[in-house]
Amino acid sequence: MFPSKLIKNSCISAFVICWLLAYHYMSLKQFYLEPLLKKPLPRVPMLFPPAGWIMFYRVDDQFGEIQVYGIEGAKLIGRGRDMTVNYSAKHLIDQHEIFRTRTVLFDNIKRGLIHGAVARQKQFCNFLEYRFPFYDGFEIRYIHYPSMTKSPEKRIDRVAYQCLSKGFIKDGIR
Amino acid sequence: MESVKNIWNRLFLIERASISLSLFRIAIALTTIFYVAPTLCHMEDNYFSHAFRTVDPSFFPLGLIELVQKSPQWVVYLFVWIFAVSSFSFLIGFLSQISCIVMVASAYYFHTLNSFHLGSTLSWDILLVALFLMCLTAYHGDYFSIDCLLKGREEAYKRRRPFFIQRLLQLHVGFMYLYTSLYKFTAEGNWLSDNPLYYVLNYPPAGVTKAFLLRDFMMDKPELCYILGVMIVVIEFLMLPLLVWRKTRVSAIYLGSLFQFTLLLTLDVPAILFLLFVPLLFLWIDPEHVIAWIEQKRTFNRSAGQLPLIFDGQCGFCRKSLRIIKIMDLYDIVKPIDFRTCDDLSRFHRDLTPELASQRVYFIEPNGVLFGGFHAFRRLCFYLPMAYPLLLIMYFPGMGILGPLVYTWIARSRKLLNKYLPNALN
Repeated sequence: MFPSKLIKNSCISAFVICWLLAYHYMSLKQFYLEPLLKKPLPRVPMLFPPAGWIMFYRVDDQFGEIQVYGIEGAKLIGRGRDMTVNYSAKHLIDQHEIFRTRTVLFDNIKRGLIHGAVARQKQFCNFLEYRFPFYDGFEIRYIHYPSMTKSPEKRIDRVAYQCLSKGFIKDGIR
Repeated sequence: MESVKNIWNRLFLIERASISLSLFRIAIALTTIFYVAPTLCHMEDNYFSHAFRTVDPSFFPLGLIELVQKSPQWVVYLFVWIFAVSSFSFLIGFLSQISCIVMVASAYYFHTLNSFHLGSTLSWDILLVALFLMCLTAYHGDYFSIDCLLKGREEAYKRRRPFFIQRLLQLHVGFMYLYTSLYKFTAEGNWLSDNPLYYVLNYPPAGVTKAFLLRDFMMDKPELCYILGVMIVVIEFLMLPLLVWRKTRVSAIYLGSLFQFTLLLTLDVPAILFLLFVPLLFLWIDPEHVIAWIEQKRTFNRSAGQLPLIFDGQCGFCRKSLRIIKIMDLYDIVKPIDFRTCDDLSRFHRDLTPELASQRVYFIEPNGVLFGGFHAFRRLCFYLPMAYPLLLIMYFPGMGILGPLVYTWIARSRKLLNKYLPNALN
């Protein structure tokens, strides 16, 4: 074998070994290696999924849904921590209008995109205000289905949080 | 020791035709474009001051996140252009490796800037892993690319390269199936202990399940759903050995493709799972079989009679163009005929004379119909697989008028244009 070919093959072999080790290490790290060694392990940054290939690995009988309402005629009731927003009208906002980015061949909203957004309350409220400046504020409701197969009619509907637009706070609270 | 060395050699180091990687390049370029481009359509919503942005410190180093977050608006626009140019360049195979690296870097930039859309799914990671491997070599530019046309190698389609990139991509898809199934029944997975498929089918309309044909029939049959769920886990678990074993490989490719197609029809899951998984599965087809099939077609076409393309052998630009056509002619359908060395042109077509042939290129189809100039090139596109995408341009409304004008301009300027075509085509 020519020396250049030998060097080339050695480089390829070294890369393949490193790659396979990194690939399987990151595939097993979170759910197998860390529980086994009982300590957090370092990760290979910027390439592999941090939790491994866990597509649809766990699906439960319960389901959660987010609804976003734009509110009009808002009034503040109560004081301090008990303060709530009362309103004269509310309109359900299509989530495709909140996040307008369309994906190819699938609906990213039905995939649950909004769940990743509502947890960041301040940022989400600011974004809603930018998208829908004509509302006084917004109400984010969380609808929980405790068991879709045993009691599909049972749904727990609660307000996750409300937020008032900055324009309303400036002009509306007089 | 020797046998281990042989196996290792056969798995990763042996040189095989790179044509499958060239085809895969087109698939992965389109997938990346389909994934990233929609986020660039609403810049204000996704990347600018009012955007809803999230960052992913579990994926990127903090220093990089901080640096990227400071980007002024013009830098974001610059990366949009970089992504647009590099992804198109990668798609057509122009400076294939460099364009791949630049495209991946720009995609990473948008991912770092806002992980909300790009980094929110595992399918993005699947794509990144495959893209990283594609960045390592230029093998994917060996055929179905502008690079191969510029290099002027007529038999570029059967160029042999070390197999490790294709092998690692094969293993990527195989191990993904294996790990996906493993997580479904170990760790926190509940596919054997519970009935996830039954739950998915009973999701309310806001859920991820599409309203497909058999949904209503299946959603009140938990036993059937459980059996199907177990079957999915078993198939995913067995996919790697089924792909490895030659006798079951083709069935496994069909099965995997059908599985991904079913996913696409029934669930709102990222389309990467279909757009990328199926080409990844097809990488399991031995490239030597692909080459053997192409050679068989070439031999058949040569014996069945090729289609004559009459050109001027004294024109340097025409000779180089012919070279390009022959590189694109994967099935060896076209037979170039220099009218200056041909005794009797009328044997190809009764209307053909040396005077006519000196003015423009002529192409004769199997039914004896003669096409000249622009129309000859337009008809040629039907016979050259690499030219199929050009059909969209060649038959665009108005091209029947514009095309001959462009052809006449090129014919007049051929001496000048000849200088811009690489000498490798001589």
